[in-house]
Amino acid sequence: MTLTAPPKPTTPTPRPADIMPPLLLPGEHFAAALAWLAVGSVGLIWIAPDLARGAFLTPRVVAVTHCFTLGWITTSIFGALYQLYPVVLGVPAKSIRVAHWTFWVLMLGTALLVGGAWFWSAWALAAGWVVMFAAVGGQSWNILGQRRRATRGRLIGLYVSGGHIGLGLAMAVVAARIGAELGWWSVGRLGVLNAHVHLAVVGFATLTAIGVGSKLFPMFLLSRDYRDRSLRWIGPLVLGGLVVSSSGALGNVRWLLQVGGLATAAGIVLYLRLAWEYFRTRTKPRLDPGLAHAAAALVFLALATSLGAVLLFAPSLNARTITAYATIGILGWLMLLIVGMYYKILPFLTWLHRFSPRVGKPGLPKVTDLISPRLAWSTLPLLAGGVAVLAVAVYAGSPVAAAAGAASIAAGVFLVVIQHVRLVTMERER
Amino acid sequence: MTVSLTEQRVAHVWRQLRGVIDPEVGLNIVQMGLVYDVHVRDATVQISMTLTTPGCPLGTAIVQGVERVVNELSWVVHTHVELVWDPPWHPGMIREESYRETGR
Repeated sequence: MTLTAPPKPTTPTPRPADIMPPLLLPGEHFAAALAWLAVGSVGLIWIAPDLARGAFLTPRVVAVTHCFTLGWITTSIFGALYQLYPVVLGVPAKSIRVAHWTFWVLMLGTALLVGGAWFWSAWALAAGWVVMFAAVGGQSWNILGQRRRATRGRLIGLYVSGGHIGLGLAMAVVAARIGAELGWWSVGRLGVLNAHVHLAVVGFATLTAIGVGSKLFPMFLLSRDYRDRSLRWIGPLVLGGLVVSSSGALGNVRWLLQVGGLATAAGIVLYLRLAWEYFRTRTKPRLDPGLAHAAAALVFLALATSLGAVLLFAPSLNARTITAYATIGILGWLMLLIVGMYYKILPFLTWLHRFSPRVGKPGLPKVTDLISPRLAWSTLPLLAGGVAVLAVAVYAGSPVAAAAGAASIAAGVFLVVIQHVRLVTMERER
Repeated sequence: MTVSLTEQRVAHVWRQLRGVIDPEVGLNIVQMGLVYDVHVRDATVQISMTLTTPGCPLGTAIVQGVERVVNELSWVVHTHVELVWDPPWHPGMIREESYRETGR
């Protein structure tokens, strides 16, 4: 044996990264989503007095709400699915080119709907709906059909498909509302709003979050020995309940609304129990900022579910209570959850593309080293506290406190955006 | 080659593998329980290992990192890394003392 070894051949190895999308695809979605989040958080301060009056049907409230629901939540989900489908199901999107086009169509549709709502132009809203239909159709074609080719994670694929059914139904319901606005027919305003909001927020976003989260939470928490058999029931309960409750809301049949609402709430309770199991059985002793944001989001989901169940049987509905309920559900649950996931996913993607060729060499940073823990932790009280203050202020009818809560959320969002901008510039500097 | 030399080389490989860190968890792949077996025959190293999930985006980088650190050993001529999925990895495979060692 000699000490000077000849060149060392290495064996060909499987390359799981080969089916990963280019960084630009999730990157453009996440960058745009952060921009929408920033716009929405500034708009939130603007509309805080309206919220405190319970005026949830005013054009600017509808516009700002869609900055969050379409700009932040939907864009983030679409970007995340392109990244996660290959990991979870073992299949990539059908076409990266179509995915890029879909992104720009989604941005155009979001801008038309937000602008159309702000200036209350029924034709802009209708055009936005058509463009959004094309975006959702393109994304569904690109992703959903791939489930049949999946080598694993089929249950998660079912949740994503179920979520898209929720989104499609939400769009169909709101089309009826836009048609009524154009004078084509007439529909009950509040029933449509009830069905649209729940189908979009719970049917699409929450169902997708539950499905994708069933992979991400155990992976990030290193959970062990938990039982996730309830996933078989959660999806059907949530989506089935929503279809029934939406029928009740649209047809103004109260008992149908209540039965469907209770079924959906039961599904969410089952999910909260499962999420508790993820955290309880975790191997990682300490929560990082991302997971702490997600844990806070789950608390807000529990609050929204409780309040929603109470509202189902309330003899009369107060506009401010409904607004507080929506605030907790959209901002407390979904906004906070996605911020938490950004703290996990974006530094990881940056690390993957910048440092992965150096694995095994000394001095390599860890993923958590790429963001400032102090800044990341500081956004939790700003965002969660802001949502809590805003929701209580709306319920109590205090415009000043509502504006303070909205300002706290905007400050938290500013810090979230700053950290992710730093991630990008860090990549350029090193 | 004597048995003791082989055992010594196997120990060298395990030590090298501790230099490959999972960047998300912050533990090395040995602490994570990702390495199932190390076999040395003369100057050839055969490593049987897994990943936390079959589609792990870090898969290629980790395998290349393993090859890199093992090839740093002067006596190694050939390194073969085999990715296996049975048994599938689960967090229970993380060595209990790992988090205490790293203070996380």
